[in-house]
Amino acid sequence: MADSTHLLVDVAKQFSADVLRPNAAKFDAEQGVPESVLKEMCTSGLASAVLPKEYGGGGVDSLTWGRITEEVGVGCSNTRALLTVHSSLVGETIERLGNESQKQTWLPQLVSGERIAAFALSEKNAGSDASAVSTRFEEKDDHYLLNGKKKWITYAAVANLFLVFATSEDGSTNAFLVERERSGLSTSAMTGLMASRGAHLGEITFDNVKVPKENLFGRPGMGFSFVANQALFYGRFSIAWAGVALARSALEEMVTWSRTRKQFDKKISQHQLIQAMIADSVTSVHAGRAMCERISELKDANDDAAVMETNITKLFTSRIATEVANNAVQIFGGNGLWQAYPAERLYREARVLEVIEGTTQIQQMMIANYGLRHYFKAGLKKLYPE
Amino acid sequence: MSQTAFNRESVREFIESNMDVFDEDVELNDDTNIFTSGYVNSIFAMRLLNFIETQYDLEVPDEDIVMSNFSSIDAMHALVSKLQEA
Repeated sequence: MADSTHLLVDVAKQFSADVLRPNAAKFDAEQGVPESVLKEMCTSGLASAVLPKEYGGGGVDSLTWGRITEEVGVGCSNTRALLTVHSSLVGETIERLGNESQKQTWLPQLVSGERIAAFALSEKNAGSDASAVSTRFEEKDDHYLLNGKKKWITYAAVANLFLVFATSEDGSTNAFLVERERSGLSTSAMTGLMASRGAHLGEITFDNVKVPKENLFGRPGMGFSFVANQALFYGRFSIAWAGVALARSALEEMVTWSRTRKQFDKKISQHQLIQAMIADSVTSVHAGRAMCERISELKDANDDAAVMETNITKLFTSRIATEVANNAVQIFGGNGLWQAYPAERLYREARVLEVIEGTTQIQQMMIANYGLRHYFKAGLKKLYPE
Repeated sequence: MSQTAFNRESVREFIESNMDVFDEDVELNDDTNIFTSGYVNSIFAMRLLNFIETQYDLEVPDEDIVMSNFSSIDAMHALVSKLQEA
């Protein structure tokens, strides 16, 4: 499959090499990607590359979007997270399921960076079981009233537009687009995290927040079945590429280090057990990228197989990110455990990918279900001995 | 422009190939509510939307993206017919 030659991939590569990779440790240590970087992600067209041209976006194909996500992710996972939430989880979902007025209102603001969007689904007691959200909405005459609390929301601390999921007393789930300036909405940053320290994770409190009727996103009661599931498809696609990005970043670090560091009078890259880890890591990165290229093709073709193949790819690449980053820590040795070198940060960041946008176990449940149906061959039963 | 006629069997096959139940005796009738019967979960609704749009070259408008329009083969037939006539 031909690689994307879109100019924005080169822009991403350059920005990643010049700005993101040299500063990723700083963003992690200082607990936040700076506003100037977020702004540049928007003004450069990177954050809006996947959004339609008619709203000011780049209108790129899925492979190009994936490659942009990869290049940004190679430089800095925390910055890549902006693409996952602002552009994919919220932006692509507005484009897919919003009404014309919502598209006209919000997409140009997401493109320009006037609005940074966050996806507000998770709560203290609603993680894998997203249907357990307890943030409540009440329908009033000319508005909805929101009450409750969201947790673990990436970019919540700086975002000013939230795609919020809330349930009614009777258990129906609605999605809403809620602006930060709404009275009663407040956010607080989450600290003490193992990873995603630079991704402005936060909690959002809704205290009698009035939301106009036109901010209802999707039809009443369809928040979970259509909106959340569609958004999570885009999110998983993004995380699939993020896994490749992280694994590649760790591979580049381990190879460079192994050709620099000497032990027993030779470069450690000449030791065969180091080479074994490098070989396994190269294989994982190449396999993961091939899978990502395949889901990009399926997504562009609106092929239904894109959904399950994206689950499979997300499972695979989030795992290889952990494995390859683990190899990087091992090859860096003592320095792999020290913040002055990148391996420990990459290992921490990789670990996140197996938790977000559907844990490894949730992917396994869905994939097993698919496998039990898809690979069942009734005719084989006859071949089994009595 | 010619429109693709609604094909109950292709929709049935799509649903059957994605059901959460593995009982070989399960019967999927045209009026079976696939969600309340437990044959598929609500996540599948999004895939049905994409399937219908792709198969019949339609754009389902915002107001029609509701579970009741995807809950059975009959309901999807009615939705596709309505959109093709519009």
